[in-house]
Amino acid sequence: MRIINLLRQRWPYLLVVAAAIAFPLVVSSRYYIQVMIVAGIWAMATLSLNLILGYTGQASLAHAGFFGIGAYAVGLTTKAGLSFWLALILAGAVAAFVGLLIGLLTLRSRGHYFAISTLCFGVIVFIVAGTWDGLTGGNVGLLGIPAPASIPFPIIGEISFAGQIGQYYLVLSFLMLFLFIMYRLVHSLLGLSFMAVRNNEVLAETVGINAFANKLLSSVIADFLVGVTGGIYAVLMGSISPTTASFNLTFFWLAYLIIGGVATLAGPIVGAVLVTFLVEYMYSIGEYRLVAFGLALIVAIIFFPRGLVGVSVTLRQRFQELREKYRERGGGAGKNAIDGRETDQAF
Amino acid sequence: MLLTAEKLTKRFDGLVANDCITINLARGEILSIIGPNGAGKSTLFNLVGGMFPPTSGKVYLEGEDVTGLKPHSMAERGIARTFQTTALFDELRVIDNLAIGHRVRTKTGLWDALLHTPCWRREKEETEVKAMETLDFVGLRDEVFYPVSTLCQEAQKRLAVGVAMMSDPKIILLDEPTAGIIHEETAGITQLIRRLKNKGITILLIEHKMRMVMDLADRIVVLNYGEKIAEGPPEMISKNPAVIDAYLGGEYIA
Repeated sequence: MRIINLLRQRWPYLLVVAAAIAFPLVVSSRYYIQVMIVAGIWAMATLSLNLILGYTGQASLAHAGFFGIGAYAVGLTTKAGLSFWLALILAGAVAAFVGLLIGLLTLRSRGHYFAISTLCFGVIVFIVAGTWDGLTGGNVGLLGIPAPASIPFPIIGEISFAGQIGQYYLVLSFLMLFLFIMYRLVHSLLGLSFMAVRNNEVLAETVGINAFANKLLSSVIADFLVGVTGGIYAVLMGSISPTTASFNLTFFWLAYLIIGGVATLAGPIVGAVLVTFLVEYMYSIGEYRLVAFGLALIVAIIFFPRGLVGVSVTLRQRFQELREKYRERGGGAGKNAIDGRETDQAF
Repeated sequence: MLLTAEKLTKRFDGLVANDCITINLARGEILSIIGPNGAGKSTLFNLVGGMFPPTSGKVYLEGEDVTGLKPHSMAERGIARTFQTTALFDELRVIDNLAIGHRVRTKTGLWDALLHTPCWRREKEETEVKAMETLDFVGLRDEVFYPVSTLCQEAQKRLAVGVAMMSDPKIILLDEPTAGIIHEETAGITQLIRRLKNKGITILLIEHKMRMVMDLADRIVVLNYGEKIAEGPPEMISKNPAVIDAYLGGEYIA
């Protein structure tokens, strides 16, 4: 019964997941699969940015810095012979630890000042990656990062990550894991504390929420996740350079988040996948695509503050209102004041 | 004494907002603080609530020195408050606001949230039950899933009291609970405050509506220019010449 209910309520989501699983089997173009892999990685980075920026309200612009830290951590340690899976956990831990130190400093500032101080840290990571030749390989970066070793898997025997399809499923699995983590966080008392801090920090403090501790925890989780994302990026691309830690990336993710929908679960994925594909599609118009990108961003910020996901929610509500009106006119059953899907979204 | 504020002084760049004010709050009473605008009532609230530390003086809660603690620590120790301009989490729903109010009594952390541990489940259920009780108490049960922004001013005031109640406070500081709502609606708020008292919650009340203060308060403290000029039961305060002169005005009849 639960499964039937689940199917009935969540079928659009399940459909999307099914499509994502079928994608590399149906689409034979190596090009599109590659774009999808990259889009998936950006989606993971944007999901984690959404935790600190969207749900906790702290505009951290150091995100690509932590992505770079994770990427270099995995690149350096796997080249030294460490297993990818251990390296990945290490990457997250290093990013989280650095994030803790930086957070202890920067989270004492608020609003624009916080954004600027984190941006500065992002730029510092970029510069360090380009100049610390002994460790990072300077501007050349790290080349020849080994692909993850194959892992045993029932039925198929083993999954190899040397090929594109294995890599696609690696990214998809982690993307689903990140989404799951975000879902559980957002629908918990902890996530609610983050949102309380975002909405009204003074009031949050007054009702007993330690705003600083919550902001710190949120940013450390976000840094851990984006560190892991950077690690996955490093092994899938096989080489990394200072541009992997470039603050430009942060602004791209920010744009995906705004277009997809800030403080929504689906927004980061919708934004990252859609915009990545559009930008690829518009390659023929060269640099003008960035103009189109900028325009889309301005329109989103002014007219759709909660992005595409916000638009779709509004449309769905309008549709339901219309349907209820129609039913009432027909003398149908009493109206349900609260959408069932909304009610189970309590903390 | 449940709460003692001893010789509290607060200076802002030479301006003395509170000058050596001492108040004692007994368990279960309603103590009202009155005085003209700028008399230092809100400053006194902010000192007791931990919004900023006093320049000198001490605050004791149940004998424990809590001077200069942050607001979240004050809340943890049992001091809740509401604001003059209603403060709520206006991007969230009624139920979320109440859950946040109870957060200080819960421990759900990262792993509880991710793994849905027994702690997560217990606290989630406990929070829901408590939220529904509180909604019954403040009369907002039908609005449980409404976004806060759709509530009227008066309902928002009641919700703010509900949010403060969710932390099981020993004391609630109410800063002008009827500010910004029409006269006809103050009766409901008055009744709510009386029911809070019946529940055993001690109340420190700032209010300008004198009829309401005289009606509710067990004792009244009068401030003027940052100093305490009078203290006593309502009937005594209403006859005090210094109070009439400073605040009530010559024509006030109790």
